[in-house]
Amino acid sequence: MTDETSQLLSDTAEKLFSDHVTKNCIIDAEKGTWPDELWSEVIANGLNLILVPEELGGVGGNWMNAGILFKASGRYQAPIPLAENIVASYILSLAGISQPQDSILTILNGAFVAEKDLLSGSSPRTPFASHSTHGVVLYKDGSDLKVGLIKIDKNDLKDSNNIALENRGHIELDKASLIENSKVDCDSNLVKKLGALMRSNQMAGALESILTQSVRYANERIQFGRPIGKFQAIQQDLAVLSTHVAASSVAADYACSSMDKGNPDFAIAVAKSRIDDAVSVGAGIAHQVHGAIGFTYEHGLHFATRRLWAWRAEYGSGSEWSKVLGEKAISNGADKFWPSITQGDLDI
Amino acid sequence: MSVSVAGMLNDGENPALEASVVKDLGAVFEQDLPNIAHRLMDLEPDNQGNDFQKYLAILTQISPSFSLRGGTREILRGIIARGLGLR
Repeated sequence: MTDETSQLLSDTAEKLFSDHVTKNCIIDAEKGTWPDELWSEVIANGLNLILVPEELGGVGGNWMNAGILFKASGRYQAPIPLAENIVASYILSLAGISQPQDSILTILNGAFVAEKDLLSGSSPRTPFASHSTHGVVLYKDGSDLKVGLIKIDKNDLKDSNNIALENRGHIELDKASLIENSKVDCDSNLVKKLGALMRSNQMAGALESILTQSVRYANERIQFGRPIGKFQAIQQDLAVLSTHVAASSVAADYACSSMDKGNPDFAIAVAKSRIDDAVSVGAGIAHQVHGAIGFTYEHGLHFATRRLWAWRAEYGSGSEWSKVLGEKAISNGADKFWPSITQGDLDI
Repeated sequence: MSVSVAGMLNDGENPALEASVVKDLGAVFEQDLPNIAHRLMDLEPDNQGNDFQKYLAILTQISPSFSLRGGTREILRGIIARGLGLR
């Protein structure tokens, strides 16, 4: 895909989300209503199939393209599992499995085993499980690693939410039938890594949105006779926020481009831990600048900050990914430390 | 420190500066807590989870207000700066 296609993708996502992801759309979704119109538009534009090769009916894009969509969905706090469906359809495509017509996919995350194509295991905090028709799962079958597809059965599902009121279901499977399955040659920890990659990008997008909102508010809100953005204390805070937003965006892009180069482990761990730090600082600053108004449900700031707080803990917290980086750096030894940083290769 | 601020009030004094120092220290500390807890424990904030997760969920969401109520951080620090003879 060319840069021109990236631009087209970016324009399409911006237009689609700015038209459809209204405050009411998010509020309704928080009450459990599925945003049908928004989702239909996403499907009509094929955004969920960005990473699926053309021969399997997809768009044939790369991870930098997918990153544009992850970030846009985070920037608008689109209450739909676009990122999850992009990743799920990618995992299916690795195994050469086509996505069923009109399906909404979720990704099962947990240890699963199969016996005679019957799958058992549990997946806590499964994203948008109650809205999904099918689940994609990476599991062990003897010594083989396989990708499987299951139908979501409401009887196997216990509903819950994260603090952003996004659906997170607990799925418990006891010898569930696999509709499709196929051997795959990939990292057995792929789900967690791709989960961290998509959340990192979504957080980078949501951080951009809290910066935009905070700067706009600081220019509009008059206090002591002038906009509060004229006060140095506010300017310094917003400057700090902007540095974290910049670092997060670069870290997220780096993780996507490293995926495209087939060597993503270092970059994903860096992105998730760096952006986690940015959330801790950035969400605090955004709320501080907005004062009490940003703290009300009526104001939209919390749609972004609650997602940031929820997402930073999903698919491994920043601390967990930092530990992965640290342990690997130590076991690699001192001589490999600097080269591993300059080459972005820790071989985790 | 809070007790001595209360003591000043009791004695009819005006502890505006001292109260600002205590409030700023307290708010910064309290606001750090959910972030520190998140860094230490790999558990999601969850209103339906265990006690730690429930308190983490509540604290994470309400902690931004700690430096807004009863004088924002910027106002308090202005008072402290005045106390230092800077304004």
